[in-house]
Amino acid sequence: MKREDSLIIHVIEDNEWYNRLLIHTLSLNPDYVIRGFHSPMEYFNYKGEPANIITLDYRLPNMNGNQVLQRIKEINPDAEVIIISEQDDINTAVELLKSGAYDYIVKEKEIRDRLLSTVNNIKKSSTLKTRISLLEKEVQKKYDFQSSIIGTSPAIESTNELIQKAIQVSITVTITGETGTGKEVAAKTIHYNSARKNKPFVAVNLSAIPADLIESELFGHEKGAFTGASARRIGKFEEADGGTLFLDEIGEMDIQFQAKLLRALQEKEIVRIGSNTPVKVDCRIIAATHRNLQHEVSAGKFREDLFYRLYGISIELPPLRERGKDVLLLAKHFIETFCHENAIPHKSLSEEAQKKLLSHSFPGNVRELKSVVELAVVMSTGQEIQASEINLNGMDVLNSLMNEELTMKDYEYQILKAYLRKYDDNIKLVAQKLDIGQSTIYRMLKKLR
Amino acid sequence: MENDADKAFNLDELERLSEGDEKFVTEMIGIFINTTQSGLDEIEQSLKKEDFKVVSAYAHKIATPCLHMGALNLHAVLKKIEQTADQTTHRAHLEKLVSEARILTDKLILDLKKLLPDNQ
Repeated sequence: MKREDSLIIHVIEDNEWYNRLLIHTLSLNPDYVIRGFHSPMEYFNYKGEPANIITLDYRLPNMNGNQVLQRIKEINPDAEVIIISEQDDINTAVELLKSGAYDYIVKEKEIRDRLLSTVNNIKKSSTLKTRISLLEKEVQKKYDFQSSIIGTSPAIESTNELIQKAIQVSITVTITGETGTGKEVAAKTIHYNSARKNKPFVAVNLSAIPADLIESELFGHEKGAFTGASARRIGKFEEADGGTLFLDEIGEMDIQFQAKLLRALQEKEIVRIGSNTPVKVDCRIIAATHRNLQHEVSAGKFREDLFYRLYGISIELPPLRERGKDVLLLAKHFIETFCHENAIPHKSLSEEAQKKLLSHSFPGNVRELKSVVELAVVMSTGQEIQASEINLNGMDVLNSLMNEELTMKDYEYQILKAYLRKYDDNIKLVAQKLDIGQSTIYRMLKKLR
Repeated sequence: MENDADKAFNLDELERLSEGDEKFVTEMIGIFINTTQSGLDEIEQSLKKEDFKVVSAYAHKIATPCLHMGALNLHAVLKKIEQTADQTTHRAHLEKLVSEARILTDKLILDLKKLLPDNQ
């Protein structure tokens, strides 16, 4: 009986002696289910379960190995084909590998070891492929429209309509909204429900990349392009080819680089640093920012032509405080997910706890709510989470900090850490908010480390 | 002293491939006898018909098992038949090689049959 982890291997070999030898060699592993065929016709007439691996004699009656290989690839593209030949002919081997054969083994004394090791390698890579495919399905499920965009408030419903539209067409999307409103979740929801869902989703936080490294990060570089470029590296545009490139915090992008980005978006091609050859790229752009880009254009901080280039579907995510009872729907969803992931019995929110959540303004938006409810699940002792077990940021934190009686310097660090957390480590923004220089922040961080 | 190249066959390689399965060794000897004999018959008939392509194909087909059965002399002659038949210009030489293969095969099969139970 075929086991869950067994491999089906078909042997196509017209030489009776070799056919038996290959079947015997492969049958030594009980996980392999082997079936032998003596001609291509016999094989193509077979209507049983398709093989994972096929060993194919190169010289067969009526058809040569290459012709059989092409037909196998047409009817069973997932099967890996190992060509077995009498000739140690490097040109034939290269041609067959180019045509999709997995390996080329010569009928010589080492055939048993070569064959078993090749089958083992295929098994390993097939296990990896299965795991990747499972993970991809899990990610797609996670960002399924129904489970990722939660809420029934009018504010989120109009946003949902736009997200649905963005899913249907491969148009550029700009997502704006306060920090923590779920810009990346919205971008992933669009990607994983769109026609590009089986291709990569690549996210880049532009505020976290120093200005002089942005070009290399996005466009890649050739070996020796600059000091430290010890090997060729492809950039995020090429990584996202066929899929979606999510440019987070695009409002923070250095104005000098904006012209290059505009050119890449217009021409749909990039040039790696140190190269003169343009590389065609096909990726959908989703840009996000917490800033009002139109204001940035007026202030001369964002190129007008780039602004219009990015101007596709514009989605503004509402802050949580404007989403009414969505707070409770989201809280219940986070509790459910957290309990499930941590194998904790399901918990609910008491009426008082619900009131407490509804009365809070959540300046950190959905991200803050998630942290608050997850902590509440951990802290709660019963099946129902009580209001007293919900620790909201703000006054509670401030009071507890004051009780700690820290030094002035320690308080400064606490404030800095809180702001960095709040603004996704965006140093430029934190400097603005605290009205201090960026160099002061770097100095404090250095001492802190 | 007789060296490996002079022996009609050597089953060390087949025994290694069998992983201790004696039934498998016997089965493979039986298949070898049948396929080599019928293959050589095909070679002789095709040579009479001057179908050199078929001569080459059969020589090619039965040569490789000889390698694993340690029948190195027969393997060498069969490879020569394959190459000569591909060129098709040396009929006399080809006939000589096929006769040589017949003598080697008959001797080899006679010896191998002695290893089979009840001398099948």
